[in-house]
Amino acid sequence: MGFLSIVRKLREKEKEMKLLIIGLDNAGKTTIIRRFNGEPIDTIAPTLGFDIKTLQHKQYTLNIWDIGGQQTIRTYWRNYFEVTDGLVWVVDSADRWRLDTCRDELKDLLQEEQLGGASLLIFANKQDLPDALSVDQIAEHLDLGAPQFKKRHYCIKAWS
Amino acid sequence: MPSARVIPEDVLDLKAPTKKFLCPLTANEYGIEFLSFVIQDYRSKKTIFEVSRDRPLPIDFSTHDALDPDSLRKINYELSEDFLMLPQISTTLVFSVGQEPLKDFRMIERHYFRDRLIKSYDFSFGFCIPGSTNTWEAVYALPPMDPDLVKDMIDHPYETSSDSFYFVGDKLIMHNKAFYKYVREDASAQCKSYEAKYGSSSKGEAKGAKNASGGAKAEAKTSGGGAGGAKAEGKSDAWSKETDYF
Ligand SMILES: Nc1nc2c(ncn2[C@@H]2O[C@H](COP(=O)(O)OP(=O)(O)OP(=O)(O)O)[C@@H](O)[C@H]2O)c(=O)[nH]1
Ligand SMILES: [Mg+2]
Repeated sequence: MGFLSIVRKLREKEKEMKLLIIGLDNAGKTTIIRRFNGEPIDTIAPTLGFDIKTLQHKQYTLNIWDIGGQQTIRTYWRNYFEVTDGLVWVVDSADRWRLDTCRDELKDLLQEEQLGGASLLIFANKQDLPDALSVDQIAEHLDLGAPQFKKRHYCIKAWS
Repeated sequence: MPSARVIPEDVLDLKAPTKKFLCPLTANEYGIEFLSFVIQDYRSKKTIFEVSRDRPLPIDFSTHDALDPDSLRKINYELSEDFLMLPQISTTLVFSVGQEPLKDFRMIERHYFRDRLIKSYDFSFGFCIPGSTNTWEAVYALPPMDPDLVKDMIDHPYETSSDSFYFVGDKLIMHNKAFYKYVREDASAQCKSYEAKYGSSSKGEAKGAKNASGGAKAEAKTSGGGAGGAKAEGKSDAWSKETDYF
């Protein structure tokens, strides 16, 4: 599952894919991508716009769009929804204070027609922190049992 | 091409470097500034080239003409020959935009050796948030090149060149030219020329460069972006990393 299934889908069907990585600020989006690429993660500043990675391999192209999550930026998120194949929602599992905001933002996001066809992967990030909620707790807080999620292909994963 | 409006399709048709700039310097009404551009060997993460506010390009007074404002948008790059040989290159461009939102921001870059097109790159950033600082990293393999061509490129400095065109919608707002010199590596040396120059530091520092003052002048110098990544057919295994993470 996860990235692998997305990459597989890429290999089977299309030559170009877009992954959108989104979530509240400080969730760890940029860190995840850097780590995924084997890059240093000690000097990451908040993303004040977008951070795009284009990976070309033979005739395939994967575009990873990491958009900043600060509140002022969230109002612009919808400009980046077009032709999204995969949506990764990153949650700071230890940020209990903002889980409600996190749930509401995610719900809003999933209302968006442009994202209708995108598979959804939820990362319960920062599982290493002592006060992190478990994956099941996060799933419950985000209301993943709601009917909204019934029709959607999604999965939730622990990550740290 | 004086008054005619230049649209993306026009520059995608170009078969040789342009003789002139296709838009005036003043066409950049959007306050777009290039903050840094870094080229790395993707596998080793070693920096091959960097230009940023902290590391400005030296001005080459033999070609720089203070009276010619266009010299600000002509850049000479000196790169290791490794750039032409490495299986996987990463280029990272950091830019900021002014207080207006940008719609359909797009870069088209045409690379030539003399009058021969080597590769073309076309990337749509789409929307840019007002006041944002944005990063674009491209990881790719250069298209396999005929060894004779590579030798020619190394033997003839600055005869490899590129035209970078930036559009907002259909409107050309920036045009920069770059000229490349490829420097041979000394096989007997302890380390690569770029290791001595840039160390093995990561490009992380490039960020936050925005605070540095300097204004519009630095713009043209760091602009352009270097090589783009053509549809590449290579022996590379770009995503070898994936196995480490699943
Ligand atoms: N303990 C812990 N900290 C993490 C983890 N992932 C990220 N962080 C830290 O969380 C902070 C925010 O990380 P970023 O990757 O910048 O977060 P972001 O989601 O990109 O934030 P914005 O760009 O503002 O939207 C940094 O200090 C990271 O070091 C993790 O798995 N565990
Ligand atoms: Mg970020």
